[in-house]
Amino acid sequence: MLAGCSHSVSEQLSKLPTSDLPPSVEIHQAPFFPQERYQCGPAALATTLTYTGVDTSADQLVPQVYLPAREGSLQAEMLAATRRHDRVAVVLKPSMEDLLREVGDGKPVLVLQNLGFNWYPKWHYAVVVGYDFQLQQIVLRSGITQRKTMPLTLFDRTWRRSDRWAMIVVRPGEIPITATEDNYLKAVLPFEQGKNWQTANAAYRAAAKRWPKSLGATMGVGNSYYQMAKIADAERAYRAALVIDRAHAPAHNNLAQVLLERRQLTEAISHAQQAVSIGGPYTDAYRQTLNEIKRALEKR
Amino acid sequence: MNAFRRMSRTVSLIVITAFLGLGLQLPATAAIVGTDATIHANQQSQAHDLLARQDVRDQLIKMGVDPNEALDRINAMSDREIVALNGKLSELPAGGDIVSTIALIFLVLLFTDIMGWTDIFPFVKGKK
Repeated sequence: MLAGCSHSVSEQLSKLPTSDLPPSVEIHQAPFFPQERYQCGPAALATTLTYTGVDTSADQLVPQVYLPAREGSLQAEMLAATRRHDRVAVVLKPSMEDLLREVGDGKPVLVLQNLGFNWYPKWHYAVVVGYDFQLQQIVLRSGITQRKTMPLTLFDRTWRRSDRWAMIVVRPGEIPITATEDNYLKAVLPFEQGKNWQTANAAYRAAAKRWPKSLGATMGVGNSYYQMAKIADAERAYRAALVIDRAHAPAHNNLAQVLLERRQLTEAISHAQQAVSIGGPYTDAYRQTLNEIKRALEKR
Repeated sequence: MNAFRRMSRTVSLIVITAFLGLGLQLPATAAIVGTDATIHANQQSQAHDLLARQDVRDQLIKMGVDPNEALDRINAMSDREIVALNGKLSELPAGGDIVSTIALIFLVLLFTDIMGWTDIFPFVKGKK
Protein backbone atom coordinates (compact mmCIF):
# COMPACT_ATOMS: atom_id res chain seq x y z
CA MET A 1 0.00 0.00 0.00
CA LEU A 2 2.77 2.40 0.94
CA ALA A 3 4.61 4.16 -1.86
CA GLY A 4 1.97 2.91 -4.23
CA CYS A 5 1.30 6.27 -5.80
CA SER A 6 4.46 8.26 -5.19
CA HIS A 7 6.16 10.06 -7.99
CA SER A 8 9.57 8.76 -8.83
CA VAL A 9 12.58 10.29 -7.13
CA SER A 10 14.02 11.85 -10.23
CA GLU A 11 10.64 13.27 -11.22
CA GLN A 12 10.27 15.05 -7.87
CA LEU A 13 13.81 16.38 -7.91
CA SER A 14 13.86 17.53 -11.52
CA LYS A 15 10.61 19.45 -11.03
CA LEU A 16 12.09 21.57 -8.23
CA PRO A 17 11.92 25.28 -9.02
CA THR A 18 15.42 25.75 -7.72
CA SER A 19 15.61 29.35 -8.90
CA ASP A 20 12.58 30.17 -6.75
CA LEU A 21 14.03 28.70 -3.53
CA PRO A 22 17.01 29.91 -1.48
CA PRO A 23 20.10 28.02 -2.79
CA SER A 24 21.00 26.79 0.67
CA VAL A 25 19.43 26.99 4.10
CA GLU A 26 20.33 25.65 7.51
CA ILE A 27 18.37 26.15 10.71
CA HIS A 28 21.31 26.00 13.10
CA GLN A 29 19.18 26.80 16.16
CA ALA A 30 17.07 23.66 15.77
CA PRO A 31 17.84 21.75 18.98
CA PHE A 32 19.18 18.21 18.98
CA PHE A 33 18.19 15.34 21.23
CA PRO A 34 20.37 12.30 20.63
CA GLN A 35 18.05 9.33 20.60
CA GLU A 36 18.35 6.41 22.89
CA ARG A 37 17.50 2.96 21.61
CA TYR A 38 14.36 2.86 19.43
CA GLN A 39 13.43 6.40 20.38
CA CYS A 40 13.86 8.50 17.30
CA GLY A 41 10.14 9.40 17.51
CA PRO A 42 10.40 11.20 20.87
CA ALA A 43 13.77 12.68 19.85
CA ALA A 44 12.51 14.10 16.54
CA LEU A 45 9.35 15.40 18.19
CA ALA A 46 11.39 17.05 20.95
CA THR A 47 13.39 18.92 18.29
CA THR A 48 10.30 20.34 16.59
CA LEU A 49 8.38 21.08 19.81
CA THR A 50 11.20 22.83 21.68
CA TYR A 51 11.96 24.83 18.53
CA THR A 52 8.50 26.41 18.88
CA GLY A 53 9.07 27.21 22.55
CA VAL A 54 7.68 24.12 24.29
CA ASP A 55 9.62 23.14 27.38
CA THR A 56 10.12 19.40 26.92
CA SER A 57 12.70 16.72 26.08
CA ALA A 58 12.93 13.39 24.30
CA ASP A 59 12.77 11.55 27.65
CA GLN A 60 9.59 13.36 28.65
CA LEU A 61 7.96 12.49 25.32
CA VAL A 62 8.70 8.76 25.49
CA PRO A 63 5.56 7.89 27.53
CA GLN A 64 3.47 10.02 25.12
CA VAL A 65 4.45 8.42 21.80
CA TYR A 66 6.58 5.33 22.27
CA LEU A 67 4.87 1.98 21.67
CA PRO A 68 6.98 -0.69 23.40
CA ALA A 69 5.70 -3.71 21.46
CA ARG A 70 6.57 -1.98 18.17
CA GLU A 71 9.86 -0.50 19.42
CA GLY A 72 8.80 2.70 17.73
CA SER A 73 6.16 5.43 17.43
CA LEU A 74 3.10 5.67 15.18
CA GLN A 75 2.41 8.70 13.00
CA ALA A 76 -1.03 9.30 14.57
CA GLU A 77 0.55 9.50 17.99
CA MET A 78 3.20 11.97 16.82
CA LEU A 79 0.35 14.25 15.74
CA ALA A 80 -1.68 13.70 18.91
CA ALA A 81 1.28 14.28 21.23
CA THR A 82 2.00 17.59 19.49
CA ARG A 83 -1.51 18.75 20.38
CA ARG A 84 -0.99 17.82 24.01
CA HIS A 85 1.60 20.60 24.04
CA ASP A 86 -0.77 23.15 22.54
CA ARG A 87 0.90 23.08 19.16
CA VAL A 88 -0.72 22.43 15.79
CA ALA A 89 0.71 19.48 13.84
CA VAL A 90 0.16 20.08 10.13
CA VAL A 91 0.79 17.21 7.71
CA LEU A 92 2.39 18.55 4.54
CA LYS A 93 1.54 17.59 1.01
CA PRO A 94 3.85 14.74 -0.10
CA SER A 95 6.11 17.02 -2.09
CA MET A 96 9.85 17.69 -1.99
CA GLU A 97 9.20 21.24 -3.09
CA ASP A 98 6.88 21.96 -0.16
CA LEU A 99 9.30 20.37 2.27
CA LEU A 100 12.17 22.56 1.07
CA ARG A 101 9.93 25.64 1.04
CA GLU A 102 9.09 25.12 4.70
CA VAL A 103 12.74 24.60 5.63
CA GLY A 104 13.53 27.76 3.64
CA ASP A 105 10.91 29.53 5.73
CA GLY A 106 12.76 28.50 8.88
CA LYS A 107 10.58 25.56 9.89
CA PRO A 108 12.21 22.25 10.77
CA VAL A 109 10.21 19.46 9.10
CA LEU A 110 9.70 16.11 10.80
CA VAL A 111 9.80 13.28 8.27
CA LEU A 112 9.19 9.54 8.29
CA GLN A 113 11.79 7.59 6.33
CA ASN A 114 12.13 3.94 5.53
CA LEU A 115 15.84 3.27 5.70
CA GLY A 116 15.38 -0.37 4.78
CA PHE A 117 13.42 -1.90 1.96
CA ASN A 118 9.73 -2.16 1.30
CA TRP A 119 9.97 -5.86 2.20
CA TYR A 120 12.21 -5.18 5.21
CA PRO A 121 11.12 -1.77 6.51
CA LYS A 122 13.20 0.23 8.95
CA TRP A 123 10.95 3.12 9.82
CA HIS A 124 12.76 6.13 11.15
CA TYR A 125 11.84 9.68 12.13
CA ALA A 126 14.26 12.51 11.48
CA VAL A 127 14.05 16.29 11.22
CA VAL A 128 15.08 18.14 8.07
CA VAL A 129 16.85 21.34 9.16
CA GLY A 130 18.59 22.39 5.95
CA TYR A 131 19.57 21.74 2.36
CA ASP A 132 22.12 22.82 -0.19
CA PHE A 133 21.34 22.69 -3.91
CA GLN A 134 24.93 23.08 -4.97
CA LEU A 135 26.07 20.15 -2.84
CA GLN A 136 22.79 18.36 -3.74
CA GLN A 137 22.31 17.40 -0.11
CA ILE A 138 19.88 17.63 2.76
CA VAL A 139 20.75 18.25 6.43
CA LEU A 140 19.02 16.29 9.19
CA ARG A 141 18.90 15.85 12.92
CA SER A 142 18.82 12.09 12.87
CA GLY A 143 19.30 9.42 15.52
CA ILE A 144 22.61 9.96 17.25
CA THR A 145 23.91 12.32 14.55
CA GLN A 146 23.39 16.00 15.20
CA ARG A 147 24.18 17.09 11.65
CA LYS A 148 23.60 14.29 9.21
CA THR A 149 24.03 15.17 5.55
CA MET A 150 22.51 12.99 2.91
CA PRO A 151 22.39 13.29 -0.90
CA LEU A 152 18.99 14.64 -1.97
CA THR A 153 18.36 11.60 -4.15
CA LEU A 154 19.08 9.12 -1.37
CA PHE A 155 16.95 11.11 1.06
CA ASP A 156 14.04 11.14 -1.35
CA ARG A 157 14.38 7.41 -1.95
CA THR A 158 14.06 6.73 1.80
CA TRP A 159 11.32 9.33 2.26
CA ARG A 160 9.28 8.18 -0.71
CA ARG A 161 8.70 4.80 0.91
CA SER A 162 6.58 6.49 3.59
CA ASP A 163 4.52 8.18 0.85
CA ARG A 164 6.60 11.26 1.67
CA TRP A 165 5.03 11.78 5.09
CA ALA A 166 6.08 15.04 6.71
CA MET A 167 4.70 17.13 9.53
CA ILE A 168 5.41 20.58 10.80
CA VAL A 169 4.79 22.01 14.27
CA VAL A 170 3.45 25.54 14.62
CA ARG A 171 2.04 27.69 17.37
CA PRO A 172 -1.75 28.14 17.28
CA GLY A 173 -2.36 31.20 15.14
CA GLU A 174 0.60 30.49 12.88
CA ILE A 175 0.04 28.82 9.51
CA PRO A 176 2.79 27.07 7.53
CA ILE A 177 3.37 28.75 4.17
CA THR A 178 2.58 25.61 2.17
CA ALA A 179 -0.53 24.69 4.18
CA THR A 180 -3.81 24.32 2.33
CA GLU A 181 -7.15 25.27 3.83
CA ASP A 182 -8.12 21.62 4.00
CA ASN A 183 -5.02 20.17 5.65
CA TYR A 184 -4.78 23.06 8.11
CA LEU A 185 -8.41 22.80 9.24
CA LYS A 186 -8.06 19.05 9.63
CA ALA A 187 -5.06 19.72 11.87
CA VAL A 188 -7.12 22.11 14.03
CA LEU A 189 -10.35 20.11 14.29
CA PRO A 190 -9.00 17.66 16.92
CA PHE A 191 -8.48 20.55 19.37
CA GLU A 192 -12.22 21.17 19.19
CA GLN A 193 -12.98 17.53 19.87
CA GLY A 194 -10.51 17.65 22.76
CA LYS A 195 -12.36 20.71 24.09
CA ASN A 196 -9.25 22.87 23.95
CA TRP A 197 -11.31 25.89 22.88
CA GLN A 198 -8.67 28.58 23.37
CA THR A 199 -6.21 26.88 21.05
CA ALA A 200 -8.91 25.95 18.56
CA ASN A 201 -10.16 29.53 18.51
CA ALA A 202 -6.72 31.06 17.91
CA ALA A 203 -6.06 28.59 15.09
CA TYR A 204 -9.48 29.00 13.44
CA ARG A 205 -9.20 32.79 13.57
CA ALA A 206 -5.82 32.64 11.86
CA ALA A 207 -7.31 30.34 9.21
CA ALA A 208 -10.26 32.69 8.64
CA LYS A 209 -7.81 35.53 8.13
CA ARG A 210 -5.67 33.56 5.67
CA TRP A 211 -8.66 32.10 3.77
CA PRO A 212 -11.47 34.66 4.21
CA LYS A 213 -13.91 32.61 2.14
CA SER A 214 -13.36 29.46 4.19
CA LEU A 215 -16.63 28.14 5.54
CA GLY A 216 -14.83 25.65 7.82
CA ALA A 217 -12.61 28.30 9.40
CA THR A 218 -15.52 30.71 9.91
CA MET A 219 -17.74 28.04 11.47
CA GLY A 220 -14.78 27.00 13.65
CA VAL A 221 -14.40 30.57 14.89
CA GLY A 222 -18.10 30.67 15.78
CA ASN A 223 -18.16 27.25 17.42
CA SER A 224 -15.09 27.89 19.55
CA TYR A 225 -16.40 31.31 20.63
CA TYR A 226 -19.72 29.68 21.52
CA GLN A 227 -17.98 27.15 23.77
CA MET A 228 -15.98 29.96 25.35
CA ALA A 229 -19.36 31.60 26.20
CA LYS A 230 -18.62 34.55 23.88
CA ILE A 231 -22.09 34.48 22.38
CA ALA A 232 -21.95 37.82 20.56
CA ASP A 233 -18.69 36.86 18.82
CA ALA A 234 -20.16 33.48 17.92
CA GLU A 235 -23.22 35.14 16.41
CA ARG A 236 -21.05 37.40 14.28
CA ALA A 237 -19.13 34.40 12.94
CA TYR A 238 -22.28 32.41 12.10
CA ARG A 239 -23.66 35.39 10.19
CA ALA A 240 -20.36 35.65 8.32
CA ALA A 241 -20.64 31.94 7.46
CA LEU A 242 -24.11 32.56 6.00
CA VAL A 243 -22.66 35.31 3.84
CA ILE A 244 -20.18 32.77 2.44
CA ASP A 245 -22.89 30.14 1.94
CA ARG A 246 -26.47 31.05 2.73
CA ALA A 247 -27.59 27.44 2.41
CA HIS A 248 -25.19 26.07 5.04
CA ALA A 249 -27.44 24.19 7.46
CA PRO A 250 -25.00 24.01 10.40
CA ALA A 251 -24.63 27.81 10.30
CA HIS A 252 -28.43 28.29 10.36
CA ASN A 253 -28.78 25.82 13.22
CA ASN A 254 -25.97 27.25 15.34
CA LEU A 255 -27.14 30.82 14.73
CA ALA A 256 -30.66 29.76 15.77
CA GLN A 257 -29.26 28.35 19.01
CA VAL A 258 -27.35 31.55 19.74
CA LEU A 259 -30.43 33.65 19.02
CA LEU A 260 -32.49 31.39 21.28
CA GLU A 261 -30.05 32.06 24.09
CA ARG A 262 -30.26 35.77 23.38
CA ARG A 263 -34.09 35.52 23.46
CA GLN A 264 -34.45 36.71 19.85
CA LEU A 265 -36.98 33.98 19.22
CA THR A 266 -38.62 35.21 16.01
CA GLU A 267 -35.37 35.32 14.11
CA ALA A 268 -34.19 32.14 15.85
CA ILE A 269 -37.14 30.08 14.64
CA SER A 270 -36.68 31.24 11.07
CA HIS A 271 -33.04 30.03 11.02
CA ALA A 272 -33.94 26.75 12.74
CA GLN A 273 -36.64 26.12 10.12
CA GLN A 274 -34.16 26.82 7.33
CA ALA A 275 -31.68 24.38 8.86
CA VAL A 276 -34.34 21.66 9.02
CA SER A 277 -35.53 22.27 5.48
CA ILE A 278 -31.97 22.21 4.08
CA GLY A 279 -31.38 19.02 6.07
CA GLY A 280 -28.35 16.74 5.81
CA PRO A 281 -26.76 14.23 8.17
CA TYR A 282 -27.36 16.41 11.24
CA THR A 283 -31.08 16.98 10.71
CA ASP A 284 -31.93 15.39 14.07
CA ALA A 285 -29.92 18.07 15.85
CA TYR A 286 -31.61 20.81 13.79
CA ARG A 287 -35.06 19.45 14.72
CA GLN A 288 -34.07 19.49 18.36
CA THR A 289 -33.06 23.15 18.11
CA LEU A 290 -36.33 23.97 16.39
CA ASN A 291 -38.35 22.20 19.09
CA GLU A 292 -36.53 24.03 21.86
CA ILE A 293 -37.28 27.37 20.23
CA LYS A 294 -40.94 26.39 19.83
CA ARG A 295 -41.09 25.49 23.50
CA ALA A 296 -39.54 28.85 24.44
CA LEU A 297 -42.08 30.63 22.27
CA GLU A 298 -44.99 28.78 23.95
CA LYS A 299 -43.74 29.75 27.38
CA ARG A 300 -43.58 33.39 26.44
CA MET B 1 -39.61 -0.93 16.79
CA ASN B 2 -40.29 1.66 19.45
CA ALA B 3 -39.36 -0.78 22.18
CA PHE B 4 -36.13 -1.52 20.35
CA ARG B 5 -35.38 2.16 20.09
CA ARG B 6 -36.04 2.65 23.80
CA MET B 7 -33.78 -0.24 24.59
CA SER B 8 -30.95 1.00 22.40
CA ARG B 9 -31.25 4.39 24.05
CA THR B 10 -30.92 2.75 27.48
CA VAL B 11 -27.91 0.78 26.29
CA SER B 12 -26.32 3.96 24.93
CA LEU B 13 -26.85 5.68 28.25
CA ILE B 14 -25.26 2.81 30.13
CA VAL B 15 -22.30 2.79 27.73
CA ILE B 16 -21.84 6.54 27.98
CA THR B 17 -22.04 6.50 31.78
CA ALA B 18 -19.48 3.69 31.87
CA PHE B 19 -17.14 5.67 29.65
CA LEU B 20 -17.50 8.74 31.80
CA GLY B 21 -16.42 6.58 34.73
CA LEU B 22 -13.32 5.55 32.75
CA GLY B 23 -12.37 9.15 32.14
CA LEU B 24 -12.86 9.05 28.40
CA GLN B 25 -13.76 12.34 26.83
CA LEU B 26 -17.24 12.59 25.40
CA PRO B 27 -18.03 14.77 22.42
CA ALA B 28 -19.51 18.17 23.23
CA THR B 29 -23.28 17.81 23.48
CA ALA B 30 -24.47 21.38 23.06
CA ALA B 31 -27.30 22.18 20.70
CA ILE B 32 -24.82 23.53 18.20
CA VAL B 33 -23.21 21.16 15.72
CA GLY B 34 -19.41 21.09 15.69
CA THR B 35 -17.08 22.18 12.90
CA ASP B 36 -16.69 18.54 11.86
CA ALA B 37 -20.13 18.92 10.23
CA THR B 38 -18.70 21.64 7.96
CA ILE B 39 -15.31 20.14 7.23
CA HIS B 40 -16.31 16.52 6.66
CA ALA B 41 -19.27 15.50 4.56
CA ASN B 42 -20.05 12.31 6.44
CA GLN B 43 -21.08 11.95 10.07
CA GLN B 44 -19.71 9.39 12.49
CA SER B 45 -21.82 7.81 15.19
CA GLN B 46 -20.83 8.79 18.70
CA ALA B 47 -21.49 5.40 20.28
CA HIS B 48 -19.30 3.79 17.60
CA ASP B 49 -16.49 6.26 18.33
CA LEU B 50 -16.64 5.58 22.05
CA LEU B 51 -16.31 1.85 21.54
CA ALA B 52 -13.42 2.36 19.11
CA ARG B 53 -11.73 4.60 21.69
CA GLN B 54 -11.93 1.91 24.34
CA ASP B 55 -10.60 -0.65 21.83
CA VAL B 56 -7.58 1.47 20.93
CA ARG B 57 -6.86 2.07 24.60
CA ASP B 58 -6.89 -1.66 25.28
CA GLN B 59 -4.60 -2.25 22.30
CA LEU B 60 -2.13 0.38 23.56
CA ILE B 61 -2.08 -1.22 27.02
CA LYS B 62 -1.59 -4.65 25.51
CA MET B 63 1.37 -3.25 23.56
CA GLY B 64 3.10 -2.06 26.71
CA VAL B 65 1.74 1.44 27.37
CA ASP B 66 0.91 2.35 30.97
CA PRO B 67 -2.92 2.34 31.42
CA ASN B 68 -3.16 5.96 32.63
CA GLU B 69 -0.85 7.15 29.89
CA ALA B 70 -2.90 5.20 27.33
CA LEU B 71 -5.97 7.16 28.40
CA ASP B 72 -4.20 10.50 27.90
CA ARG B 73 -2.94 9.29 24.54
CA ILE B 74 -6.35 8.34 23.15
CA ASN B 75 -7.91 11.51 24.56
CA ALA B 76 -5.47 13.54 22.44
CA MET B 77 -6.77 11.84 19.28
CA SER B 78 -9.76 12.86 17.20
CA ASP B 79 -12.62 10.48 16.49
CA ARG B 80 -11.41 9.98 12.95
CA GLU B 81 -7.85 9.28 14.04
CA ILE B 82 -9.14 6.69 16.52
CA VAL B 83 -11.19 4.92 13.86
CA ALA B 84 -8.22 4.94 11.47
CA LEU B 85 -5.94 3.47 14.14
CA ASN B 86 -8.31 0.87 15.56
CA GLY B 87 -6.96 -2.66 14.96
CA LYS B 88 -3.96 -1.44 12.93
CA LEU B 89 -1.43 -0.74 15.68
CA SER B 90 0.63 -3.76 14.69
CA GLU B 91 0.84 -3.01 11.00
CA LEU B 92 1.13 0.79 10.63
CA PRO B 93 4.67 2.16 10.27
CA ALA B 94 6.35 2.73 13.64
CA GLY B 95 9.46 4.87 13.38
CA GLY B 96 12.06 3.47 15.74
CA ASP B 97 15.64 2.37 15.83
CA ILE B 98 17.78 3.34 12.87
CA VAL B 99 19.02 -0.17 12.28
CA SER B 100 18.87 -3.06 14.61
CA THR B 101 22.51 -4.03 14.45
CA ILE B 102 22.08 -7.75 14.88
CA ALA B 103 19.55 -7.94 12.06
CA LEU B 104 21.87 -5.96 9.80
CA ILE B 105 24.86 -8.19 10.49
CA PHE B 106 22.68 -11.21 9.87
CA LEU B 107 21.56 -9.82 6.51
CA VAL B 108 25.10 -8.95 5.45
CA LEU B 109 26.39 -12.39 6.38
CA LEU B 110 23.43 -14.01 4.69
CA PHE B 111 24.22 -12.07 1.53
CA THR B 112 27.91 -12.95 1.62
CA ASP B 113 26.98 -16.58 2.28
CA ILE B 114 24.68 -16.65 -0.71
CA MET B 115 27.37 -15.09 -2.85
CA GLY B 116 29.73 -17.81 -1.73
CA TRP B 117 32.16 -15.41 -0.05
CA THR B 118 31.46 -16.80 3.43
CA ASP B 119 30.10 -20.03 4.84
CA ILE B 120 28.54 -19.18 8.18
CA PHE B 121 25.04 -20.59 7.96
CA PRO B 122 24.80 -24.30 7.23
CA PHE B 123 21.38 -23.86 5.58
CA VAL B 124 22.77 -21.62 2.85
CA LYS B 125 24.26 -23.29 -0.17
CA GLY B 126 26.29 -20.52 -1.71
CA LYS B 127 27.65 -20.23 -5.24
CA LYS B 128 30.53 -22.55 -5.74
